[in-house]
Amino acid sequence: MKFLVFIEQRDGKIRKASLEALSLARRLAGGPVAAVLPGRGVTPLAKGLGAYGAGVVYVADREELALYGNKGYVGALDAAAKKENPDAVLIAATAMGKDVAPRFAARHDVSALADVMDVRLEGDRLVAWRPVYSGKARAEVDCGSAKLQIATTRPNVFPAEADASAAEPRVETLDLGEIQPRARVVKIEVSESKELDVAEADVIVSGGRGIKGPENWPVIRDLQEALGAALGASRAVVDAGWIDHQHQVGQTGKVVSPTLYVACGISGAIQHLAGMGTSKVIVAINKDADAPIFKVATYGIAGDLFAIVPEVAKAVRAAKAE
Amino acid sequence: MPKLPTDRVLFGLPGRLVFGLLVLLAVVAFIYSASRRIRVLLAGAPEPRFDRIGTRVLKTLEYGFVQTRMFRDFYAGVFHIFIFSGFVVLLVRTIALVVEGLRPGFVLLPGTAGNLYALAKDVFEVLVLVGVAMAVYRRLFARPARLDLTVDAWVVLFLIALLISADLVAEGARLALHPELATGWAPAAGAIARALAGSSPRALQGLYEWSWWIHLVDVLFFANYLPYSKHFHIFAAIPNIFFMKLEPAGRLATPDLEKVEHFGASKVEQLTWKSMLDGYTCTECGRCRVVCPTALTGKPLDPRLFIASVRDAVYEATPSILAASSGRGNRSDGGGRRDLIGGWISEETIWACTTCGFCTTACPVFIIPAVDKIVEMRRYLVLDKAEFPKEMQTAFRGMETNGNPWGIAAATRADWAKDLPVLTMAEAAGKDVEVLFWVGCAGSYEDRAKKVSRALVELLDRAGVSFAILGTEETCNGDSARRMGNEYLFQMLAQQNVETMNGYGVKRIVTNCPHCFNVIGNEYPAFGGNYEVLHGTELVAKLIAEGRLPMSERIEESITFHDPCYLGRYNGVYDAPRRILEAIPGLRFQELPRSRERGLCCGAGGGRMWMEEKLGTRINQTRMKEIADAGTGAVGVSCPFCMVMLGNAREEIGASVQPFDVLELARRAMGTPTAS
Repeated sequence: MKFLVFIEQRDGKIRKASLEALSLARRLAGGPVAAVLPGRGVTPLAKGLGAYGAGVVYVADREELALYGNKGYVGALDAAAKKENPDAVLIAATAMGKDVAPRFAARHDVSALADVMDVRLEGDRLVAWRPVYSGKARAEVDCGSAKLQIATTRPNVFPAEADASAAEPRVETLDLGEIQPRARVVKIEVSESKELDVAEADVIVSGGRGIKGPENWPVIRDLQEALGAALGASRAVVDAGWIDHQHQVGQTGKVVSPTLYVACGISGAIQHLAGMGTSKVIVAINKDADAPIFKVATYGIAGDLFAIVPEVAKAVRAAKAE
Repeated sequence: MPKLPTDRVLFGLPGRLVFGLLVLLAVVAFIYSASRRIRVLLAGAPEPRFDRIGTRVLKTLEYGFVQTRMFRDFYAGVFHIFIFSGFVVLLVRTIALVVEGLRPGFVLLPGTAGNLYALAKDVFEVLVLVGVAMAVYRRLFARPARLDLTVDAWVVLFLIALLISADLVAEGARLALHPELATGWAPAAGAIARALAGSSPRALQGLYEWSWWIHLVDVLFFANYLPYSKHFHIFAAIPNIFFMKLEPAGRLATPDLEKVEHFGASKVEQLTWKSMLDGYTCTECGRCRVVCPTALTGKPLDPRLFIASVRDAVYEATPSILAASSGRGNRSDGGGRRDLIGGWISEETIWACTTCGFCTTACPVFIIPAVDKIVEMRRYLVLDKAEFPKEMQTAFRGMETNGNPWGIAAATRADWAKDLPVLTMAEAAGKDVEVLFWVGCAGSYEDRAKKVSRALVELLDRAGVSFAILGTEETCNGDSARRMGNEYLFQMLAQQNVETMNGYGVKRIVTNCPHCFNVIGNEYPAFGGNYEVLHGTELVAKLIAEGRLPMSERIEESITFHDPCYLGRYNGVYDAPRRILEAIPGLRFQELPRSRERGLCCGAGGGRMWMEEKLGTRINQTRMKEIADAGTGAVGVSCPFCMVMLGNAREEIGASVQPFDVLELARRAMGTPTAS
């Protein structure tokens, strides 16, 4: 069974989610698979994909592909597909992947399995699980009898496995001819605020009444920055005016579902749990061991947050430095 | 025979003809104004208010004529009844004067009846003047916060004072001119006559005629001024009281969603005729304004302004409504009009309401619950436009997918009772179950309320009451959904719950959540769910009174009680929680300054529990400060949402007073049962 994986990069850095999709494809195929890498100045990146399962990398290295545009990027995927003639195409379900996949599927008049969390092979059919009803149920989906099967994989779900002993991939350059985009991305402006939005963050560090006063935010900020996380807050501290409402997590604030949620000094009133209860891993730091937050926490530390949080931040920095 | 003022030639015409034309003009003008107002009402959306006529007549007598609600503000009640009764008495006098002016020699009541009426008229005229003086004093010096000092009010007080004084002077001058007519039955007019005695007959005749004309022109002008003044209540108030909402206050209208063409009210044309009559009736007395928790905390909703805006919108729309109803013009053509929502009434105003119902009970003339109108507007915003504060979506989705506003898994609804010997209705099949314990979302999921659910279970067990819960078959009662305007969601939840309960043949229900209590008792009958619903405090108070629950442990504490709106004001349950507190030995009970029907909302009602409170100051803190000022060590509450709101406020303002659910205290006072 032949797989082709779309590799996403921004500013010359390959997205981890794409490496996850690539590893998944190798596991399903039981050996190296094909990958396609569009962009500008990306040729040197192709070699590194071997460790994650690429046997051949189709590179589309063009000035016009410096910034993402669907015509060029989908065109590259299409050109690679024509050469490789794959049975299945995997694309990470990132913002870019969610734009590429439906366009590509439409060109081939097939459907795509969107945002899947688990994939297995039954014969030569991809069978995937995807969450529905905000994670309350899972739907099992496949592509029917389509000749070309397409799936987008949810980031942070599949492991990205590097195999240092893998052979270097063969690199082939794609000839895309002239790209005539209907719309051209002129530039990407990053929002001025460096603050990550809690609603979109993958890691959130939150503070509650336990921080005692707004002057103690630096303690929480320290861990937040160490983790590269967004800053969250309970309703109590927002109401008290210690921080802006945009940070509020809970029933009447943002409803979030990050991979990691660290609750510092938050007792876990039901209004707060309603906004973060579906987080994948919850770490609670609170001095009251009976606080309801510990009932939903994956890991709990009962103790003084002013002693514990700085230690955790230090440990995170140390681990990252390795 | 005295010479009548209409015997004179005026403007070269016979006086009687001039007077006749004047009366005719006034009557025609009044009929024109009044018929416009009435035709607009007739074009309003239907609202059935013609049932239970006997009750309506009795209520009209009580509130319209005896004006019991007016006397809650004693000073205002007194001067209002003076002016009101004076006007009723004088109506006869005015008719008699008009007829006499047209047909000389007319005598309304001969003999003793006439004398008695003369006395009554004389006394009541003086009372009206006293009333006007009291009103002037209030507006000039007392200046209660609820009043807006409008020019309109001064015009009306002036017209009243003038028409009464002119009548007294006219009668006094007439008696001075013709002492033989004096009967001694008109002490005030008689006193004026004595004061005028000795003036020349010519001067007296002039005074008589001028006063007579001033009085009658004033009356005719006043009648025509009213339809364009807030004092239109003189005509509208009594009908408005007659057409009051007789259903339970806590029952909102249930539209048939299969049939409605639009949801709620967004245009003047969609208001019911009663809503319009409410607008006509409002005198802007401001009694609602000074009790409304949102107005008190600086939010844009001020119920007086809300009703006045509805009225002004109706007035603005009057020409196009009339043109449409007479077929001259397009009904939907609102050319140049401000929108009702967004124009006259802001969306922020509509979302601010906690539906506490205080404005409704404060209104002396039963202007329909601003709450009902606000929910109509919310229905439009939610179901028609899908425009609402975004945090409400979390609650809607939670109720829709998991049957609770927090969106916690429905499968865990009964987990609070896991380690308790509580049966579900399904498990209790075949057993004799006296009462269904309706736990509610808070009682099932919220930590503090779960403890209260536990307390009630232990109390019922001790008293030997056989009960069961629905467990995971229970779902949100829908109160928040309905009061946030999501009628679809409410009806879905209501139908589901009624179906479940009727399936088990449920007859009696106990619940400790006043919102569940109100909705199940008052609103489920519309869905075929007819049950006897008791609040937790009602059942426990009854069990204590029957001696089935000994209150043996002392709790040494001073305590006050915060009345939940949907238990007290909406359903009249004031005494049960107090009886429990008084039955607990050691508790020293003390009332809050604002308690019972005057209790202030905690801020969570009407779905406000699920919305951000971004405007003004916080309602829960305002209430908690008041509670803290009472100086007790504890405050009893009987609603899980009040508990959350007051508990948060306590931390926010650093108050020391501890909130306890009344049932938690009863459970503590019951002590540990000795093994038997």
